[in-house]
Amino acid sequence: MNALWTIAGKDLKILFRDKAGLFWVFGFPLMIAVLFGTIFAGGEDGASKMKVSVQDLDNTDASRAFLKKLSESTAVEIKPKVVDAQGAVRKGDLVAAVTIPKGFGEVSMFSGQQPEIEVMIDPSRRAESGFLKGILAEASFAPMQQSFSNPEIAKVELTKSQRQVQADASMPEDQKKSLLQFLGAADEYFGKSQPATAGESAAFSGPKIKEVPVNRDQIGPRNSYDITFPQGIIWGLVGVATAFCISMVKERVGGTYMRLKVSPLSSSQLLLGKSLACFIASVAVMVVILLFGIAVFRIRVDSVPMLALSIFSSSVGIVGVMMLLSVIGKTEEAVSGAGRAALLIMSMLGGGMIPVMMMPSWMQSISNFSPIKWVGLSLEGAIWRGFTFAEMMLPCGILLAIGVGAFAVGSLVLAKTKD
Amino acid sequence: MVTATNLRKTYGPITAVEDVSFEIKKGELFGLLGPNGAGKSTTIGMLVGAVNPDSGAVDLKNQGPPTLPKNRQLVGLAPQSLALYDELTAKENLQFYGAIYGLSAERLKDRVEWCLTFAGLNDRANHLVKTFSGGMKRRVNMAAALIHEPELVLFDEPTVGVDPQSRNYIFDSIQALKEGGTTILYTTHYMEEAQRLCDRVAIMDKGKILALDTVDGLLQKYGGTSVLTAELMDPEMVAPVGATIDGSHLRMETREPLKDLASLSDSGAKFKTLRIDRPDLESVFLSLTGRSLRD
Repeated sequence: MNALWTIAGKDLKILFRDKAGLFWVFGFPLMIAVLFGTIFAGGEDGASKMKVSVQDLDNTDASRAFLKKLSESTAVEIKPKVVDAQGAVRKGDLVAAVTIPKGFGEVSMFSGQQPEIEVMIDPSRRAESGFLKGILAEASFAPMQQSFSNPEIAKVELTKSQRQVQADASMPEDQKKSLLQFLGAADEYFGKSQPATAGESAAFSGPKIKEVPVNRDQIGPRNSYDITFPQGIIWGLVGVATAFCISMVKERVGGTYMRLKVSPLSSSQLLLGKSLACFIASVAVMVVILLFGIAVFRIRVDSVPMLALSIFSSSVGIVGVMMLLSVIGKTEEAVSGAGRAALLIMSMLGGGMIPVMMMPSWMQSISNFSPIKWVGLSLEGAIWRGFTFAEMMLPCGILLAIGVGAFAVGSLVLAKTKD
Repeated sequence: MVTATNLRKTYGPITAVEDVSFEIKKGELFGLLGPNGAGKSTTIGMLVGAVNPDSGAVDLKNQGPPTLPKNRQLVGLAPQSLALYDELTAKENLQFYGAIYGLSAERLKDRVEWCLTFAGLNDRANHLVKTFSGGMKRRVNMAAALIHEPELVLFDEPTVGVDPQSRNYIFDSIQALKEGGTTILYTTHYMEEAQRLCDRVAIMDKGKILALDTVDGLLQKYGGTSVLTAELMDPEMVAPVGATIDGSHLRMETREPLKDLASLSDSGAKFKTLRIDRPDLESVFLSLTGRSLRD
């Protein structure tokens, strides 16, 4: 096992020292993913914004101030006039549907009755949910802030609060007395005070946010990057396969393979060591590109276990393809040329340039013969298609079969040409 | 140390090696001399177990073929092509090959230092091999064959594309290695190298061994006569038996040039200039094949 790691370590070191090779493995795929993602996104900044509908049942100054503040957020894009907001959330067209309840502007912040904003959101969107709640809370300060920055509005609010406290039968008398004393003093203060500058507001408790779970049932990419990052990964894997193909033939032609063959290592150890390096590089490419997409373009992975399955089977498939292509020629030039051409065709047919779903049906049928198509499908299955384990078995099974089969054929050809 | 018996290898219609047999003794520096395409590298491939012979056998130390795991450790190979990784440093290349042979960390460290000294590249240990000259790469290539202290080392054309300075360094290193008791197989198409370094030489051509002996033995058997030429002080001198005199120039073909020179001197000959052309392995090859080694 140590020998395998020694060979793999050497190959990875060589790969990472080759700056041109690294560009094709990491740089170019990211360029493809970002460039096409941005183009398909129509140049809008929507990819980084949460699409939210807001239904204003209150329609008061306070609710309008809340809405205005919310629309100023750079993280939220408010979709106007959504007829079936709940349906849109279910389909994934909207991240959430917000409802401002009737009486939102009437309820006093001192009465203990806080405004309850309803948010319909998919419970699986935990990150967005937390983020949105923060934004809603921030926006809720807007009407309060407006009130306290204007003594006239504040006096009206205080009078309203005094009335609500007096009418509240559930409140203990001593507490009621203390609160009325405080509201009276505040009323007297605002009678003497001038309008305050922005930011000088009194403390109050924030709004209550009621989360209404709406499970999504729509299957589809959430944004263009959901499609272009798997495409980018495809190009990264093509880069890895090409680099290792060339490295294999270089070893054969250059004499290092012969030197290794006369060492105590067996032939299978040599090939497995090389394959391990290719496998690790493939996994690294997929993980790095995906992490970049998740961190910067907010790609969300539906199922991490399915993604792990996709990464594993795709990497096995790429190892097999690499091994097979590395024996299609006897010289570095032959393998490099033919290998690149074969991988380019596989990649184009497999959705590396145009997503398979956008191809005409006859071309989609042809794409079934490209291992790259199954890499893309398995990634999409894990990222946004919501594939079950059974559904993942088709692309992953094909990739594993290609990996094992192509590796066996490549190894046999290599064994026959070893002399 | 090594016994090759009736080795034969064909590639399609081409017979690369035909009925090759020889034995290399422990501590010997054995040369395979022949032009490009003579079958030297294929023979080496079979000796180290990288090429399967169609027929015949190789035995290492009476322990069986070189493909046996226990025999792998006995052999070090410096192939004709530079078997190095350009994107790794000299030290990393040596560390990699040492690790492949299962050297422990401490031993690996010592051996890497030894190999770098052998190659004369301690000061360039951490430089990428791709930045090295042809001679430096050759030296690392040879050092990598020695990383695990093999008993038998095979150097396949180690001076191809090497500058004269590096070539001399390589000769000295090989000589030192031999003096240390290592058994060496050295292939070359330069007859001067074989003549200078090897205890015994097998002359190969078209896949066959044409002759095998010590250098002196080969010269004796196939080298022909030495030629003694001189410009005489006394042009009136009578030509001795076997010599011709044209004006003041004497020419004499002889198998024992020093003995005949002494006889000439004893008979009163005085020389303005004197030259002895001894036969070399080039003339041996010419004698055996009818063509020059460099053809």
